[in-house]
Amino acid sequence: MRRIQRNPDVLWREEDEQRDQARNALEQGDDAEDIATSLLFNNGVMLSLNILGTEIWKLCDGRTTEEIVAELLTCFEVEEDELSADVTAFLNELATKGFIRYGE
Amino acid sequence: MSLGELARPLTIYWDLTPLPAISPDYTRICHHIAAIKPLQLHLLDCGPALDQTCFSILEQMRGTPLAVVLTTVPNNISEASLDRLHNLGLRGLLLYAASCAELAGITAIRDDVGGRFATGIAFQVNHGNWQELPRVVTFCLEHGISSLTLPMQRLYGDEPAFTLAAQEQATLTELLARLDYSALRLTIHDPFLWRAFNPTTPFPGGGCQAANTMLAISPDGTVYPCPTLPLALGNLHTSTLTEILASAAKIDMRKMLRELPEACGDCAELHQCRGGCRGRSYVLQGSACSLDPACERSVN
Ligand code: SF4
Repeated sequence: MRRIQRNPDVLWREEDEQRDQARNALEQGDDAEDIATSLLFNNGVMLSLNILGTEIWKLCDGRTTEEIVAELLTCFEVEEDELSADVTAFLNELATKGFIRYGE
Repeated sequence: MSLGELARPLTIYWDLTPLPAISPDYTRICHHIAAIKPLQLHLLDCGPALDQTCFSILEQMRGTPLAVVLTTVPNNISEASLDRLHNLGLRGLLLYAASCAELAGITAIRDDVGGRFATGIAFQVNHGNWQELPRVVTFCLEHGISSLTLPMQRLYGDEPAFTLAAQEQATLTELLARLDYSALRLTIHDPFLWRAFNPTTPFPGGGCQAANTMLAISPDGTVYPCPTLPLALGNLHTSTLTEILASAAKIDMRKMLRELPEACGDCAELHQCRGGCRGRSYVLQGSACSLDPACERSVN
């Protein structure tokens, strides 16, 4: 099973204000998809992530995709299959852009 | 997802030289910077020798998540200074040159730098040297230098503003087309220079980022939205960066910069160019809301 690591060269920052805003939106049942709660910067490429993307990013600390999904299921109310597909696609995109690496 | 408006910048450009008549309180400025948690600090120290100030700033920033990149002249680099910079956690080193002749010194030290930091060249483009750019690119390719930055002009000083006229842009594009520099990592802030190097790739960045993703600190501690836009937002002798970021001056500045110059009208390039360099418009046209003089439309 492939373990996922953040690329240590990526510079990143979580935006406290926006994170609180996104959490409040979720608590009130609103959509928080368009609220960027973190910024990632690598080799001149900048990415902004919403709250789900940020949580996935923070879990890229040597866990497998399955472990990340299991952890997220404790925080977000979503169907496991749907979440698993979203997480896999998102991680593949991060890997293509060089923000994460798949290891053993 | 677009970056939108940020409460705190991602990058701070802090110029230490030319040395000011009255030095600011460097330690205090370091605290201000750390408090707003940017991702990158770009230090510029092009004095005749690397100043002690530069080392003490690195000392203070060591151990923080902030990535510090230093731009300095090749003459300032020795085996001892490289060791010291490495031990102080420097993340990147850019060797400054403004002519092909100055690049010669870089050949000599490239091997010493080897592997310790990300290293590249910062070539300051001006009216007298833009035609040397293809030679600079060739130099990088021939010497295994993988990163070339064309730094933003420091227009808060007395540097004359540089514009690449449309005809010059076409000439440069033609000269560059003979080279394969796809492996070279280019950092170009000027949308018109960008086009000369990347005629088919849209300019990234989503419009003028002055006072949004970046802030600039001049050697005397004055804070500007960008090194190229000399409209002061405050001074770190009397304010903190946090105060400046929350100030009406900064908020109004962003409001102004988000509005595109009226003269851009229905320009087909608008989606990527987003109104050109607003600092250059301010310096050469007297208003940051005017058309960038590098734009063909400003001539027509
Ligand atoms: S008209 Fe404005 S948007 Fe179009 S190229 Fe000129 S500066 Fe850029």
